[in-house]
Amino acid sequence: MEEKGFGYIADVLVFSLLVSVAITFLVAISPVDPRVESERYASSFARGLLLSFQHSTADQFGGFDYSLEPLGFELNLPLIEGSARRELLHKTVAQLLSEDVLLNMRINVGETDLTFLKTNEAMDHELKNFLKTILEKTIGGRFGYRMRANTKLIDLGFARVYFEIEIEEMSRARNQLCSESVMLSLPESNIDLKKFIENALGMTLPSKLEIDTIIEVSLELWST
Amino acid sequence: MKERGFMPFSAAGALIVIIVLGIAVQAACSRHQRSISTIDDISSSSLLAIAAGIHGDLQSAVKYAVYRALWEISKNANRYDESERKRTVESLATRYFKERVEELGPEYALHDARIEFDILDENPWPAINLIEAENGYVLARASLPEDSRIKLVSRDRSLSIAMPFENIDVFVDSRYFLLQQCMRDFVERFGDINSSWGIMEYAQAWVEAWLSGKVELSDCRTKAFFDTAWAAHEFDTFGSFDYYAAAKGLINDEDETSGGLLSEPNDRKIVANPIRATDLKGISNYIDGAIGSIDDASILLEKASICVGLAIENLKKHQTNNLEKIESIRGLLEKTTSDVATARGKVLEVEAQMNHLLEFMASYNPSDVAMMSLYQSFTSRLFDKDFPCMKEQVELGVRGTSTKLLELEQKLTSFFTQFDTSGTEDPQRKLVLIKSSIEEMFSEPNPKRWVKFKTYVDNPPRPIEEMIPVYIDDEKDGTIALLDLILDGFKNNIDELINFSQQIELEPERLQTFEISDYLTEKIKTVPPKINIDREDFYELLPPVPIMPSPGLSVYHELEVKSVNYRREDLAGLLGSPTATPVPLLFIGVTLWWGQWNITVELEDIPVEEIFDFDNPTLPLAHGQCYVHKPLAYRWEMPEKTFETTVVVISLQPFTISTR
Repeated sequence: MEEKGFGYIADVLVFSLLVSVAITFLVAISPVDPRVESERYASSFARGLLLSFQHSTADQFGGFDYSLEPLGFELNLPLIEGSARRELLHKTVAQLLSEDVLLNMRINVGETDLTFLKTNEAMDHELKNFLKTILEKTIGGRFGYRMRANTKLIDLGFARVYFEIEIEEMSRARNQLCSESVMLSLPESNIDLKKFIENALGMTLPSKLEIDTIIEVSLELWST
Repeated sequence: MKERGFMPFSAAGALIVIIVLGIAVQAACSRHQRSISTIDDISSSSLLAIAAGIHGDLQSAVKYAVYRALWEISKNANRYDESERKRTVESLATRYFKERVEELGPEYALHDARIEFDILDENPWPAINLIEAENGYVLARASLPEDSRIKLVSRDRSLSIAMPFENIDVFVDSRYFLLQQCMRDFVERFGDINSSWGIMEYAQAWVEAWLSGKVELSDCRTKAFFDTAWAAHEFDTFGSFDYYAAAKGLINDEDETSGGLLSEPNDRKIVANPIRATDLKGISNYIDGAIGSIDDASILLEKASICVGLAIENLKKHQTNNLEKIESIRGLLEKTTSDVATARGKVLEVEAQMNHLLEFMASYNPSDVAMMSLYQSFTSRLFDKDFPCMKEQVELGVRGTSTKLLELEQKLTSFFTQFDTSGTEDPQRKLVLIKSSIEEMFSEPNPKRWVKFKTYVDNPPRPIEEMIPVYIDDEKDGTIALLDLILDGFKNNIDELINFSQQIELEPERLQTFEISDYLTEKIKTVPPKINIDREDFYELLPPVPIMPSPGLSVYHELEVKSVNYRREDLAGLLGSPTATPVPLLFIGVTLWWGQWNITVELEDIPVEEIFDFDNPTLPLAHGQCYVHKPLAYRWEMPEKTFETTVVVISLQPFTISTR
């Protein structure tokens, strides 16, 4: 009787153990992978946001303006305050971004910045703030983000022509959920851009040199 | 246990575990499938997003192509008529768009192999169509050649998207159509510049002629007036003007002459107030009233004369003491007396009318120098006080005539009250004397004396001395015929004056409506910035803030006056006399002084007018070593280099015209 009793107890214990294992399996089973789902959501969100940049105008985000900085000639400044203001309400955010690239292209020789006049520096600065405000408003605290826009480097050996802009809020970011990108083209043709660079450098560029006028804009979203 | 047919707990547990494992495997498979489909979904969404992105980017390319074409054509806008200009912009924009698309296709493919531009070049590129949108903005409708597609293929080539680009409307944020409309208005009403300039010249000359008697023609002042007229036309059309240029021009002129020119247009309120035809017609009405009274008096006196004649005839026929006839003659004479009394009343009405006329003239504002001067000439002696004024002539004439009529009335009254045929005096002789007194009132007046004055005749003109007759120096000269002569003379002279004011001088309405805006006068005081680059380049970069917020355009012009010429056109001026030409109006004792001169302004080069869409500095354009956002410019070269106006000033005071 005692042996039977022990056997019975052991059988129940094994049973309990197996049921626990089965429950653990059942709990672990989920037809949906939450990580994939959040990545999918983030990816769709990022794409939507980047596309909205191509179709939403600046005034839909509260308007965008900046003022020209010194132009290289003396001015009676108080007079031209209004004249130097540039209010660009009807441009899409993407157009503002591609024009910022054109207006604030960096030309470096070695470590020296050859961009003599910082005429449009304010545009770059204001656009960063503008984009940051848009991203903060649309993304809110749901994701950490990093937005980059850059052109393919034109390496001339002695000089580099490039542009990059980066806006991020990564203070609470943990894991990257997605990285979406769109391509924008510069407002200027290859030939004209080449002429402009030649004019800025004061030299003729190799005829074989192909200038890439595509800007890659990427948006990374990170979980918080 | 066996006996009872039960399986052990552990076996049941194992069975449960096996079942759960089966479920778990099933779930894992399902999750895997789901993940794969999610990835596919992301992939296809991504492909669609790229296609939409490229579509959007091509729309931007259309916009930049239109920007470029608009800039190039609008900078030479005057070379095309409106439809040709639009067609040229469309064709140029289409070319730029085509070139850009041909560049972009390979570049996109280089960055993302999934992208492929399928452009059917054998099909013609449809022209970009420009449509006017609200507020003068541009809507560009663009398409790729027929059957062309933006193609995207997934990496595993399982998914393919082909997107058309047809009849896509792209909003171009430059108000090309507004600029075109405004410049068209400016060119169509270009004559307003001459008109305003003429008014300013006239107003200034008028004030000088009337107030100082010296009109000084000055190159600098004419330049300032011309600049101001140009600016006023710009302001009226564009809501702004090239105030840097206008202020700079005035400062330069002031440096040359220290004439305070800057203040002249600033304070310019038109004070010139020439004799208006309507006022002269008011004067003419009073004179008509006086002539009417004289006519009534004439009719009454003619009737009186006839009655007296009848009385004489009756007397001749009836020398007896026929009481009936005597009563009849007395009745006739009584009626005659009454007519003479009424005629005297009518004559006195002439003076009353003239007094009303003078009151009417005196009621004008003392600052109305033309009317005051006319009043002065009506009430003060002229030609070294040798010639009686209108007031004096009328007063003397009325007093003399009314005294004579009173005497006649008294004679008639005394005659018919004492009339009978038995008296010692011959009543017939008395009546003949009375009749002859009445007829004397109608006898043609003779000049009492003559006064000399200077006038001009022939072409080319030569000065001659002429004589004016003076008909009345004393009350005793007054007769109905004299008053009639004087009043008719006044009336003719006033009519002549009306003709002068209507035909030669500027219409007063134009003077009344012409006013330089306070905005303009205020803005001209702006101290222009010192610009050490080309001024047009400067305006492209930093267009001056428009004065009026609507339509929000900045204005630039190139206007350099090369020379100013004056040519006298009145008779005395043609003779080389600095004095204006006198035109005497003898009866009202007024001499009109007529000054007329032509002013020609010649410019260094053809003038250029350019406007900028200040509110939309949207075109990213190269400027030296950087790109800058510039507003669309619309530049127009005017065909004329020479501008002319004729100034005619009529004054009641003598004045001279000289060149400073």
